[in-house]
Amino acid sequence: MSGWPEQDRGEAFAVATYGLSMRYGSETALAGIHLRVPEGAVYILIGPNGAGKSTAMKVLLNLERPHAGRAEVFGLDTASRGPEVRAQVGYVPEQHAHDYAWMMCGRLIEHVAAHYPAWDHAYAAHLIEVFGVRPHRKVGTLSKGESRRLQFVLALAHRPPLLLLDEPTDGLDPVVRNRTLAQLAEHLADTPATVVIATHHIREVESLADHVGVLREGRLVAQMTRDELRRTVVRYRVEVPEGWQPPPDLRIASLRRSRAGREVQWTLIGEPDEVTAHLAGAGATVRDVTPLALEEAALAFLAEEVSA
Amino acid sequence: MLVNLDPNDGRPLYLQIMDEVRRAIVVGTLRAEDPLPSVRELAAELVVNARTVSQAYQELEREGIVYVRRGQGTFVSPAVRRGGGERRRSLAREVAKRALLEARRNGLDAEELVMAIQKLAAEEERAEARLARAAGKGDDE
Amino acid sequence: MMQLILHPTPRGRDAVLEQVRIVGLGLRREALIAAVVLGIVTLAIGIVRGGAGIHFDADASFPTSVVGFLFPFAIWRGERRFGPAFLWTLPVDRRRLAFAKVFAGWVWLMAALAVFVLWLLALAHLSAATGVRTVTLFPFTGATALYLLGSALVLGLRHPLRWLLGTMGMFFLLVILSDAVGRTENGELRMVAWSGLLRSAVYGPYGLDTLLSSSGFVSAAEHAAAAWRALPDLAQWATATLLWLGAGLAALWAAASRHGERRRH
Repeated sequence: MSGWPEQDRGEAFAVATYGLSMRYGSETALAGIHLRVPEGAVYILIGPNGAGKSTAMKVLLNLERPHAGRAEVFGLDTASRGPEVRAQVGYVPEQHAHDYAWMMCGRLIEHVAAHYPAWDHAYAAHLIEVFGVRPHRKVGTLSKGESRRLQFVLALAHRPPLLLLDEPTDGLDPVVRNRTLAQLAEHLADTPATVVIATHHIREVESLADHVGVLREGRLVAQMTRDELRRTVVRYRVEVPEGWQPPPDLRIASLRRSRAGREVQWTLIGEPDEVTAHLAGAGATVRDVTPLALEEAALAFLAEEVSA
Repeated sequence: MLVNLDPNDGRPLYLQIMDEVRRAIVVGTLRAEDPLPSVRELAAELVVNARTVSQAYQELEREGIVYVRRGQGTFVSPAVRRGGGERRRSLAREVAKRALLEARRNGLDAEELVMAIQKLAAEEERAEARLARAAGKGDDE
Repeated sequence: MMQLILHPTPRGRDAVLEQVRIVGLGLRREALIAAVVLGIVTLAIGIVRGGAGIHFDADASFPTSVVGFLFPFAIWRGERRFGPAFLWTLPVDRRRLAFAKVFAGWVWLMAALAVFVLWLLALAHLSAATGVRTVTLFPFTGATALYLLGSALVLGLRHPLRWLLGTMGMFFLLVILSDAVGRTENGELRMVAWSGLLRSAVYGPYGLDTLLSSSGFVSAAEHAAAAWRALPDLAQWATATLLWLGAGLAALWAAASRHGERRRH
């Protein structure tokens, strides 16, 4: 579950990392992850705070140097072709504070625009209006939410082929959050792009996602399409005889279990046919199989019993 | 047309969108030759990937429920005037599917669900009848 | 399927011009303060002396060099330089971007010095030929060298101010100590003289003293023509200047390399 092997070239990936590892002092931030984000995907990278989501994004922008492994964005090596990689990326960083507190928002937008030949000035003006950015406000006086909206303008206005959004809904009140996400969806409808969203607020962005990666303590414990996740992470209600013990190899995938008499309810990972057959072989009867909401399914990989 | 998606619904989003369109047609909020919202509009409104909306529209087109006018958008097919009964049955089937799913999530089986629905429907009927009688009396006084 | 067209990076010239623009914008406050100070000084001279001939030996080298050294602190004010700073998220090679910003600052420093020199000249001219004896015309090289060193300090150190204050503290301690010890017969602080390296850096033939005290032309107003002020040795001054500029550039390169794309851990 920790990723795919090296030799999967051929398919076009917007983002691919190969055994990416990163440490901060003695802290392991990333432990050999193999991210694969297909072109055009909306990939949500899920994990608790400190799981390594932000670090992975910083490595992609060559803001951090990995200790081992490497990363590619559209086939460009991030370490040796940093400027080219960054030209493809719209980045909404996790932190809200801006440098240039003395500058006016409008001037900061102009400043950033000067660095992207692909900058779409008419679109930028539209975004400024939609996101309610006031160009004459000083950057230093912005609230968290205003700052986030400014960051969205800066990230979207050059219509980048890759968007890296680190906790994009953080600091936004519910109304603004919905408007922002709607704007993002509209942007994606107009401008095909690959999106990586790092978040622990899965609910807020899940409707956009078609790929899911789960990071846990620096390890990529799951990476699959949304459909695959829906198919392979499901809840089984199983009737078992008295004193029944689950087959040992099921435990690896076993996630949640609530015993109520002779009935066991599990969230199990695996092809449903195989799991059902396996359970039947062990003497249990599968009563029914229920698909899960994306958040539930993804969180299953963060449950304690899963061994990475 | 109002489309609602349920994040707790385990089914793929494009299926949910398809169901919502079908529902709107059965209920009558969408009629033959009515335009569907553009992919872009609906994607923004629902905060979903535009590809999800496209997929739903393509499936609906394949089923003959909608058709695409080049450069103008997606419209409800004139064929929906016919076959209303069948569409109702198919909608009922989808609703039942959802209910069944929800029942199973709560550890109920189909039989229990059907019995509960029948009982509930009977109760509501009686309650309505009572209300109607009460209203009738009120009018008399 | 999406048609992938990679976006280009900005032209180097555009990135540099933009840096010149925003560094200038960021220095508006400092420019205002400088203008006010110059205005007050002009007025003060006018009132106190009543235009009756000013006697001052305007050696602009020292103050301009201090300004040159402190200029980078103003330029990089409020700009994170370490970690995932905003500057480094721009699609420009990071070392080049650092150089672009330093260059932009230098352009404004030179402009400021030019204005300052013009002001001095105007003052000399207005206050009649009798007053002003010498006006240093070219404080540019010394200020440039110190500007480069200051930039290296700001760019290469996480806490340049702490380092600077620490070093200055050490220096003053040294001065106090050496005053206690006394001076050598030619007036140099004995303590400094003892320390060979510091000695040659400050008082050596190519030292800071040479760089700053004799950096260029002098307009001797008593004489009609511009003349060289008592230069110890033009060649020596030129060598000192080159040495200090080289050192500044080397330090700047090292500092900027801390932010390079392919930096090591």
